[in-house]
Amino acid sequence: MARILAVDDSPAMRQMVSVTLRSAGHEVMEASDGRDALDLARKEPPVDLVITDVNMPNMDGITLVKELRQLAHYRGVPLLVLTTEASAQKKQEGKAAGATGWIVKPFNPERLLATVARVVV
Amino acid sequence: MCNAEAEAVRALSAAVAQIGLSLRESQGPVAELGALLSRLAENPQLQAEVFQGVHHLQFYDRMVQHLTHLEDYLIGIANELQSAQLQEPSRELWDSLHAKLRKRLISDEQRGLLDLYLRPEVATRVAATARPADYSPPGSFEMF
Repeated sequence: MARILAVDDSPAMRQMVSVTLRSAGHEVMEASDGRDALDLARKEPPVDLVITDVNMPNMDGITLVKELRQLAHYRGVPLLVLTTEASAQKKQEGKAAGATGWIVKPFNPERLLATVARVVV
Repeated sequence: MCNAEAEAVRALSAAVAQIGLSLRESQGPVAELGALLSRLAENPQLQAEVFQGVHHLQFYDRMVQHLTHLEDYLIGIANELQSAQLQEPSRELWDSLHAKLRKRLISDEQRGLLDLYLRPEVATRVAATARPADYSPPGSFEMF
């Protein structure tokens, strides 16, 4: 089972992601914004997957993806963006920053688990 | 600023405050619902029901985002009305306020509703800055 970092400023959304992932036996760590997540990534051993929102205070999800890609131990870690942002422009920004995939909320829990199984080797 | 504009600014500020209050008041009960789902998820036989709950509860987050965008829109309009005594807001300025909201809206229904309330020529100009084809549908998954 994978260790996954879920990043979202909405406690309800973090809860929804965590409930889904834990139901499949994954270990979930949570962060409330990009800065919080980056601090965790710098201090803790790397997780197997990061799932991040885009619009958050202090540091947004796209900046987080860029910053994580600068860390040697996060270059190969899949980074999924889970957001209400659905514009092609934002998605392109995420891709250019180094995101692995883009999921538009509301997510289907079964499909999220299938995607996690696909990206976490 | 004339009396009508001053009243409009007060009304907009009141609407923003009410939206903010509504969002704050809903946080506790929604957190409780989330905690309830977490407890239910401990029973593997209830997984299908829990997943349905997870899916539906995300519409709360979607509503929060929608209302937050509307708050910003109303604040932007109030600011423009307040500064109107110094300089009449330009057509471009109003278009940019509408376009900013339209770009942040997250469904065709939300964008269509906004367009309905704008004058047709304004809706056409504003819509041209963010075409429907530029959006992914809610619930979509795309791997790069």
